[in-house]
Amino acid sequence: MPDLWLVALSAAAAAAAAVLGVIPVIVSGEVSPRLGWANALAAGLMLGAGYVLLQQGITLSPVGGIAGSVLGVTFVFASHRFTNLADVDLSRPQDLTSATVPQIVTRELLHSAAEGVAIGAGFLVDPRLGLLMAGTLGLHNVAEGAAISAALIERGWHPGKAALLSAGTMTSHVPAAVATAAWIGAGGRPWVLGFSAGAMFYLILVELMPESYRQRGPTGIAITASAAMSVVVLLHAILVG
Amino acid sequence: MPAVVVVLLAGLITALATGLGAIPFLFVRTLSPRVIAFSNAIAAGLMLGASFTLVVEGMPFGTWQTIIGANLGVAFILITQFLLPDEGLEFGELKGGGAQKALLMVIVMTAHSFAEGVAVGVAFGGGESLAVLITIAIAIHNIPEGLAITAAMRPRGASIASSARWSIFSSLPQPLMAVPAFLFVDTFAPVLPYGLGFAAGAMTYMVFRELLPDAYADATRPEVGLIVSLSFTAMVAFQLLL
Repeated sequence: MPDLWLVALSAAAAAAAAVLGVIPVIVSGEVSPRLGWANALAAGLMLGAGYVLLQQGITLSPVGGIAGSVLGVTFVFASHRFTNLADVDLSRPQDLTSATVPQIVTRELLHSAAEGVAIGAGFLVDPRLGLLMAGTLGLHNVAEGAAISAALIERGWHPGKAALLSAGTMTSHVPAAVATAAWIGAGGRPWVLGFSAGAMFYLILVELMPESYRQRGPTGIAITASAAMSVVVLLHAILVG
Repeated sequence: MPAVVVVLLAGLITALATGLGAIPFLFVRTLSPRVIAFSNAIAAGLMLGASFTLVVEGMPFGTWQTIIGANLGVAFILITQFLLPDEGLEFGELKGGGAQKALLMVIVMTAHSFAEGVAVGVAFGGGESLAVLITIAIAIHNIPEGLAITAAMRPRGASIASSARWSIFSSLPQPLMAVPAFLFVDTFAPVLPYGLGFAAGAMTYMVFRELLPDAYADATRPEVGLIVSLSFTAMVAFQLLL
C-alpha cells in the first residue's frame, strides 16, 4: 500500500494550489487570460498521464480498464448534469450569471473527488506517478480556482472568502485519493485506473480545452500537444523502462 | 517468395485495409451540421488514440529522440499551417479553407504511415516468424485510421470514394518504406524514434487545432466530451489488445 500520509499531503497541496489562482483575480479584478497557459499545459499533462493510467488499467484487465474509463466519463458527465451545469463554462462571464453558488460548489466537489481518485490511482501504480498526478491537477486547480473565485467575487463575496471556498471545493481530492490508495486491492485496480483516465479525458474536453482555445489560441494548442506527447514518453520510460 | 516481396505485399495489404475505414460512411447519407460535428469528434478521439500508440512505439528505439521528434512534429504543422494559403487553394474536389484542412490531414496521415512503414520494415528485419501476425495486426489497426481520415474529410466535402482513395493513398508509404527499412535495418532503426515521434506530434496538433474546434462549433461541449473520450478509449483498447 502506498504511504497514505504522502498521498494525503500531495492531494492537499494540489487542492491548496487553487489559492494561487485567486491572487491575480484579487489584484486585477478579473480572470487573467494568462491563466490559459496553465490550462493548456495542464490539459496536455492530464491527457498524457490519463493515457498512461488507461494503458496500465487495460493491461491489467481489459474489461476493468475499458469499463472503468466508461464509468469515469459517465460519472463526470452525470455530476455536471445533476448540478444542471452541463453546458456551463465558468470562465465565460455570460455563463456565470446562470449558475448559483450551491450548484458551483456541488459540481466542483464531485469533480475534484474524481480527480482525487486519479491521484490515488497514480500512487497505486508508482509514487512518482502519484506525485505527477498531484502536480498536474494542482496546476489545473490554479486556473480552476481563478474561475470559481471570480464567479464568487462578482456575486459580492469578499476575496478572502472566495479564495477559501475555491480551495475548499478542491478538498474532496484528499479523502478520494486516500480512500483509493488505501482500499483498492488488486482486483479493483484496473477499474480505478480506467475510471481516473475517463474522468480526466471528459474534463479536459468539456472544460480545459474550450477555455484554453478562447484564452490562448494556436500556441496554447501547441503547448497542449507537446506536453501530452512528452509526458507519455517520460512516464513510459519511468514505469515500463 | 523472396522476403522483400513478402514485406512489400504485407505493406500493400495494410495500406488497402485503410480504405475499409470509409465503409461505415456508406450508411450515413445526410451530412447535417450535427453529424459533421459528431464525425469530427469521432475522428479526434481515434486520431488521439493512434498518436499515443505511435509515441509509445517509438520508445524502444530512443526516449529523448521520440520526444524531440514529437515536438518537431508539432512545430512542423504550426509552421506549415502558417505558410499554406487559406484562400485559392484547391485539393481534389475541395477549395479554400476546407482544402487547406483536408490537405493538412492527408500530409499528417501520410507522414504517420511513412514512420509506420519504417516500423514495419524494422520489425520484419527482426525475424520473419511474426511476419503474418504483424501484417494482420497493422492491417486491422489501419481500418479505424481510415475511419478517422474519412470522418475528417467527409465534413469538408469529399465524397466517400475519394475519402477511401485518400485513406489508401495516405497509407502507401507503408509498403514503400517497409522494404528499404527491412533491407537496411541498421540504417533506419536510429531514425525511427524521430519519425514516429514526429508523426505523433503532428497528429495530436491537428486534432486540437482542426478537428476539436470544428466539433465544438456544432455540438454541445458534453456531446463532444462524451464522443471524444469514448472513441479515444476504444482506439487505445483496440491498439493495445491487438
